[in-house]
Amino acid sequence: MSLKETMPSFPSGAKLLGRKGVSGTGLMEGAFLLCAVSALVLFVFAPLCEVFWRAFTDSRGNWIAGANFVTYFSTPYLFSSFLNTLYVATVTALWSVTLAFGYAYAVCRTDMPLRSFFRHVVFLPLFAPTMMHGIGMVYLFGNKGLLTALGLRIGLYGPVGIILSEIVYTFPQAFLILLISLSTADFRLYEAAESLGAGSLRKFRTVTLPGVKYGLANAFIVSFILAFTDFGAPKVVGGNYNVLATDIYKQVIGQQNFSMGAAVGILLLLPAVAAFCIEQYMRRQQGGVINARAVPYRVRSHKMRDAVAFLYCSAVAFCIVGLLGVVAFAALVKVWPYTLSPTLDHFSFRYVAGNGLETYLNSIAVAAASAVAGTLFVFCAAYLFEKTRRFTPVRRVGRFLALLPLALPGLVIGLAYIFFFNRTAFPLPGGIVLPNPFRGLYGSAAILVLANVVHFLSVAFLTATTALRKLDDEFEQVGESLGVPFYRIFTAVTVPMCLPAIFEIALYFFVNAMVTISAVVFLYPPGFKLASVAIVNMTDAGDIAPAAAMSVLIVLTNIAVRAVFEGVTGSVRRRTAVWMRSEGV
Amino acid sequence: MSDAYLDIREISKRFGSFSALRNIAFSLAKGEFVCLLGPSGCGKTTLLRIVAGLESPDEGHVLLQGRDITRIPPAERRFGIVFQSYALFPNMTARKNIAYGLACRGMDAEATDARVREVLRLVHLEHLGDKYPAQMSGGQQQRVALARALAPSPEMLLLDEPLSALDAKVRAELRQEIRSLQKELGITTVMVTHDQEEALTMADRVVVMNEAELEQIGTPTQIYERPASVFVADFIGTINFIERGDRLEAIRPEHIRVLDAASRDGHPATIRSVEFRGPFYRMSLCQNEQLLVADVPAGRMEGWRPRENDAVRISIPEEFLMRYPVR
Repeated sequence: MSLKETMPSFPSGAKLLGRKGVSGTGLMEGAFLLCAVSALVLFVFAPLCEVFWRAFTDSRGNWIAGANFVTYFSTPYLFSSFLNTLYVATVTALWSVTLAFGYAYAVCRTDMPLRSFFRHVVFLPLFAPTMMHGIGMVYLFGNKGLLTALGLRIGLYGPVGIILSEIVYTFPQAFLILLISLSTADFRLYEAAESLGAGSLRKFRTVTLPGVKYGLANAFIVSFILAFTDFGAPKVVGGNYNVLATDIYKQVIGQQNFSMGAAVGILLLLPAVAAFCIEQYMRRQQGGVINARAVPYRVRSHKMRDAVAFLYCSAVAFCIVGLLGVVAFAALVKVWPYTLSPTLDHFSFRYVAGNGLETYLNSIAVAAASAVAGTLFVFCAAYLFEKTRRFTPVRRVGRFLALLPLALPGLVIGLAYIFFFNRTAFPLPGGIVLPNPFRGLYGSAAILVLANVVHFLSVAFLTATTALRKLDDEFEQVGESLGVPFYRIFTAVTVPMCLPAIFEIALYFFVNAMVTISAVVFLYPPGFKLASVAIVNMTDAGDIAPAAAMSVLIVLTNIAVRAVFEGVTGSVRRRTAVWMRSEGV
Repeated sequence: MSDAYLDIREISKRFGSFSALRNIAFSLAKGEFVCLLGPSGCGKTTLLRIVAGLESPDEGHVLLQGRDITRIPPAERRFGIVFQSYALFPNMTARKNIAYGLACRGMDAEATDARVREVLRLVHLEHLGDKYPAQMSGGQQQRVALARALAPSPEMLLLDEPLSALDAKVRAELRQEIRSLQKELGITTVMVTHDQEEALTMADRVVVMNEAELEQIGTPTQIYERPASVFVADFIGTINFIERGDRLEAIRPEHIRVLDAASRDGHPATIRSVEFRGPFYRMSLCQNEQLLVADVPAGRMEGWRPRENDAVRISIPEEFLMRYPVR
């Protein structure tokens, strides 16, 4: 506002230049925005519409309304898997949130030793494909499992195995949400409560719990959705216990019943939709809880509490590291658990289902391409939606579409892509038929990259948006008033200042592309299998040890990339520390 | 002192290498309102927190009616505390907030209800009992915080910059209200503030602190008219310092007498600048290279309109002159 008022006082030369520059950049801004939004419409919105369309039509494209759903809910065999999924997801979320709350509380609100170690070690499962948790369960509790041999029979294959694996999978995410939630408390509230005579229990009940209510609900929702839509763990330890994710796979890959697959896909979307409504409701209830003058929580010394917290965290960390450690160990011995002499044989991937090491290299190539393409697109799109000031409705649509994949399980994205990229033509109103220009992507490796970018788009987009919002909008306004086009500001100021966030986004894409199975299981071309797909094939064929070896390779790769990332961002941070600091003050 | 209600004895506190309090000692009589006044970082809040039990001193003791309470946790002290940020429980209505301390002390529902209503009336918020903190203005939230602190009938009321987050008008209003409430209840009160006007208008006695030490303790008049140190003189109100050899003389602007140039008293001076401030004129005067600030009541000007460069004569009455050794 104020800048516009001062505009007329600019020297006439600069003003002239400015005006010329503005109309030019205005057009360019519009063109870039249009590109970004069309890409989102084409690769997010249109494929999703295809899923809905298929769910309500038969294999020849005739409208059948809700017939698929009627069939689904009236076939006990199918309907039972819906109930199974609800059960598994609910139990997982309850356990995961309860365990993670204790863990986050210990990390955040106690003074136990090794806090930083405990804080970081639980993120290990995020570096592994979910099949790995299942494989670990098999090695411990399977028919020939270590603990089974010791007499601990838990009946792994079925709900027990799925729930245990999903708890490991969802624990880090629930932990992260609760950690953030617990670390934004106002210590003054505790002091006020104390001065009014409240004891520890009352303080916990009246100050701590209400403060993390929102975080608890969020952690529950996230854990529930992850467990509800996961494919990897049920595939390995599900046995004959059907869940929606494996159902889709069976309908589509096994029976080629795409129409029913689409219907199940829509059921898979339900919890995300419900979560969205619940979250909106809670946001309205929440109000301003933390004010600007909040004082950070201070941990008082309490030996007993610290000891309990340490024991608890040690136990949880032991289970998580142990589970993955068992897989690594089993991959390095001849025949678990009988012949424990070390060998690297399982890493040769000869004589097993899948294409061996080649799949691992394919995975790295796809993950790297996803990281580069995803980061480029996400950051540019976030910049356009966040920092330009024209075409507001277009930017709003773009933002919505960029957040939409948050609600889309990988399987639904995979399914949507099968439908969308397989189409020969799109019928347009007025009898025009548009041949599908993207058909060539189906059956190429590029579709895997595209699916990954869309699958992991929303979280990356939120990271980029958060980083961009921290930058002052006035950079763009100053640039505009000086007649510097926005792309110059973008490359000269915005990108260097957001470098840590950009690396974080690239890493997020890479790691997730390495471990994902759900979207790509439908999409990989015949000659281009991915490591995660190979793991599924190998466990299907009973080659558990090579599957374990492949999982280990994926985890090691992710850890190595993370280490490189820490090194690079560390040096960037040191180099930019000077202006970062002065900017922060 | 035998009649001391609260006795603060030689309190010292360090945070790492930073000394927050050094040998602070004073005492309060029952029903007294004492302000801890000083610039930020002088240790006044730390002292209040030690009295509250939220911090423990490295050395020294806090005695309440002769009983050592230094190591007693805040929950057992029965002190009401009001924070600058209000610190109201965001998930509870005003009524629930106020009832909190009563529930902690095991009061039954009926008595709690009556007491909450009584305290709400005391702070004039009968109509806002069912509102949440987020639905109230800053002034209203602070009243609720005050009510919450007073509800369990505490031994003492401790106020940590309770007014500094509020805008000027609400602050003045609440200042009077707190004071009259305090008098009505006869509750011994300690308030921390960095606002001298607040301290001078509200307190029975003011404790001026600077850099972890106690500079002066006295009534507002004593503090203003007889500052015990250069720091206090400079910190409270406006003052002129005149250096004379090894000592420093100080005089308040309203005590300098500005006379007609034709007058036979005083010494010649020139007006450098004049500001009209409503009830008085503030003049910047130059006498022998020395700049002095003088306030002249507008009512005493008798038609004279002072202008820059006017010649005047000034006299400094001996009885208002303060003398300090040069630092």
